Amino acid sequence: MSTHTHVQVIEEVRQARWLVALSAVMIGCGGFLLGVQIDAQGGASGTGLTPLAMGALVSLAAWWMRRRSGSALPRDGTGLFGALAAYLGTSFLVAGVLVPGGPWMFAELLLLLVLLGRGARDVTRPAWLWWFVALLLFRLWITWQGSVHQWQVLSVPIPILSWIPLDFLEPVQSVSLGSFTPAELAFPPLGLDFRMTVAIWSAGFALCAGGTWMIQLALREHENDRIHERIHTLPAPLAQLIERILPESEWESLGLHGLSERELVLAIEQRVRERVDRQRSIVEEYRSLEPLRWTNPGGFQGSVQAALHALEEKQA
Amino acid sequence: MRCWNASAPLRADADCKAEGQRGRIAAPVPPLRSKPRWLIQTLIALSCVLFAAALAVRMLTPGPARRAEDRELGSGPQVMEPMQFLSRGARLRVAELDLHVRPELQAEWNAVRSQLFALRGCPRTIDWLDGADGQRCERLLQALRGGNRAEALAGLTLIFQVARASAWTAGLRGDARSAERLGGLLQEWLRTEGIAGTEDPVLSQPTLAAVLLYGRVMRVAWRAPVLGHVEAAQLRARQFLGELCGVTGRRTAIGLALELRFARAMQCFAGQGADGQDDVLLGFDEECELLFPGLRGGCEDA
Repeated sequence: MSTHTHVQVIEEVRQARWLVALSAVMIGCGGFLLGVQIDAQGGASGTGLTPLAMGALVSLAAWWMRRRSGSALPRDGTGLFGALAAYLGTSFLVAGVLVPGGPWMFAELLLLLVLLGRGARDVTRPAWLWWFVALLLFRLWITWQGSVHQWQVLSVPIPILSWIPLDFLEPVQSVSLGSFTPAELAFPPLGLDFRMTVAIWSAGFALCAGGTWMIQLALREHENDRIHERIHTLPAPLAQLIERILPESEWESLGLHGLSERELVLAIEQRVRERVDRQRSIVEEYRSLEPLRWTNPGGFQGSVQAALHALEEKQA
Repeated sequence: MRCWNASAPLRADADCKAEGQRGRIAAPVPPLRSKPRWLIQTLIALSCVLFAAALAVRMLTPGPARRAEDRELGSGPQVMEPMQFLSRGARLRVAELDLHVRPELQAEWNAVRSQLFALRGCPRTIDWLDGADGQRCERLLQALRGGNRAEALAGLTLIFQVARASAWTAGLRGDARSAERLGGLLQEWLRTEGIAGTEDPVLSQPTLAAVLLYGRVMRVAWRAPVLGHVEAAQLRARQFLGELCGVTGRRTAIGLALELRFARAMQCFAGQGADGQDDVLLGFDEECELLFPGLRGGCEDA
């Protein structure tokens, strides 16, 4: 068994780098798959840059809202790369679930902005992911409709009229809801191989969503590693004491993530001072309370109990 | 007892203190299995390449359709504009096929095509096919199967001429037999020539035309009765076309070609028609009407 130096150990503890790199590969694969569609003759073509541009905008807006709520900024190479990968992951994800064009796209865009704005405070929570899944299902549904040449979201048959088997009544036998065109769906001219395309998109979505979720966790862990490393530049007993005063699970909520080294040191000093002061004030307040008074029944028994307590304090 | 926290070795001290094990800190730190640095760097480089590829792939424009008729004719008989042999003007060019029919079938071919293109009076299809000329025609069709592409086209030309020169509408009596018999001829041709024909530069369009006519003919058979339908005719057509086009499973080459060129036919056949899910052959009928406007079973186009 070998003994490692302090620096070596810190270097080895940094598993978050590995997670960041792996998540980025997942996001890259997912983004690639979400950008491909297969036409009826088996040829591959792109899904277009418009949805990606929309995705980038949504992602930017989400990042901006997160910044306003006090989220972290990248402070080193790994953090910067992870933030870029997370940004691209969100962009690919949004581009993958958005309808590629037309009024539906803008309606979805508005919804996503609202959702991301509300859910941006804790992006690792999967609640917002379910909305993406719902939007993906909607996109798959209208893609299916388009692949069978039904250019509306839904066709609702009108009771009674739709039961009459007369061809000339066809135009008034049903109502089309949410019509769209092949151009809005960015369909290739040869039509879409729905099965292959859906398989590719679903795999891409899973990879991209998984990678984006993982990279958020990895970035958080990476920030914790950085703070941990900074604290352990102190002598070991002192560092351990500080980590007991400021537990790792509270570092993000205490606003330590994303601070520069100087700000981090100042923030740790301030938080430690606050907590120690509070602890001290609680102890002093507790001591001044003389809890025996609360339970002293008074009378003969109370006088004896008070005398014994005074004796105990005197001996102490 | 040694105190060790694998996930955070530097905090082992603190953790042990928390557990009341002060003074039992392990002095030597065991080595961790960290990922090699080169592997992480490789992953980062790979992800950068993937990001670039994900952006670039979105700019891929769809390629032009690879249509079978655009391919090189290669070896075998060269027949230009094959759809003309299925149109009203087929009589003007049908003699060109004489060159491509096998010598042993030459005499029979000449005789049958001459009779068929001279057929007048619009007999019922079933009556004509049950006659001597019709039986001779059916035998020739049988002999032409499995030959070269020109012979396949010759066979289809004869079938189309039968459809054009004889009556297979149901009429007031609701007789579906003529349509079913004609449908049988088309079905046999499609069964033997259809799959390969779709990929053939000469036969690709005629094959699709044969599928459309088959759908129209079988729809006539299905709708023959004044009241109700002949369900057997439609079931047969549905089964055969499903096998030919691959509607229930993955689309075959014919199914894809039909979807690309005659989308309405496949739309109705897949049960997605807005009008009456029962009438799955409606799309074939409509497309056939556009392709062969007079070919309705009443010799209007003869």
